[in-house]
Amino acid sequence: MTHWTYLPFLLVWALPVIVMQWMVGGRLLWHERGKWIWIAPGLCIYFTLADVVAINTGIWHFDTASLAGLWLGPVPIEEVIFYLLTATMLVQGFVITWRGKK
Amino acid sequence: MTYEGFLLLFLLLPLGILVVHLRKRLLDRRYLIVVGILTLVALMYMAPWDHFAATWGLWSWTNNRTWGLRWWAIPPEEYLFCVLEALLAITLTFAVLTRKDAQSNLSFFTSSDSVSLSDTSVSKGDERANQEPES
Repeated sequence: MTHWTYLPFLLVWALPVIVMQWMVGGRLLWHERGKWIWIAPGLCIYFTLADVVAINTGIWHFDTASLAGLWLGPVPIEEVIFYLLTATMLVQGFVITWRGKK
Repeated sequence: MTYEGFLLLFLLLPLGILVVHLRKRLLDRRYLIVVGILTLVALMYMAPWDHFAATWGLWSWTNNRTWGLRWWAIPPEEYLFCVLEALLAITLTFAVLTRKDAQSNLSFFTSSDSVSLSDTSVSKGDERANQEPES
């Protein structure tokens, strides 16, 4: 299988789920947006700060040749997007399930 | 810091604080079912993706920072990260979505007297204990 770089591999993995969530529960997500919209960005900031610790203490590291080359301190931009997208998938998934038909 | 310590500090600790804060609100059968299913789906969706990335060398883990085990190409701590991240995100969303419900339950309960509470997670049972006996 072809060796992908981090960003396209991440986007191809996460974006279809987010698009599908909006196709299935878009009306509900929009109606409730005031309640949940800040949660994923908040979690993204929190996990990015935690990631600084993980990278600086050598828990995990990245192949720099597979990165776009944009960094927030020691954290590659792909990692920030990863936290934003995973939190978005989880939060939206719960909102749709919880606020959907009981 | 080890991966285990990272999980304890950045995931388990905030999750524990959230659980203690929400207490009885989490003993909701529907919440427990939904959180179980979504966490399982997240784990099953993440694992193959993470495995391929690790196989290609997009990222890797330092052996002496993990338990040294690999399930597929992934350390068990990575699966725990996925589970704890899902629990944290979902429980936080649950707390936000049900906050108004909890507040209205509480205001209904306290409407007959002048007790005012800022902690919306206080259950009715706890609230009763806070009230002074009527003379």
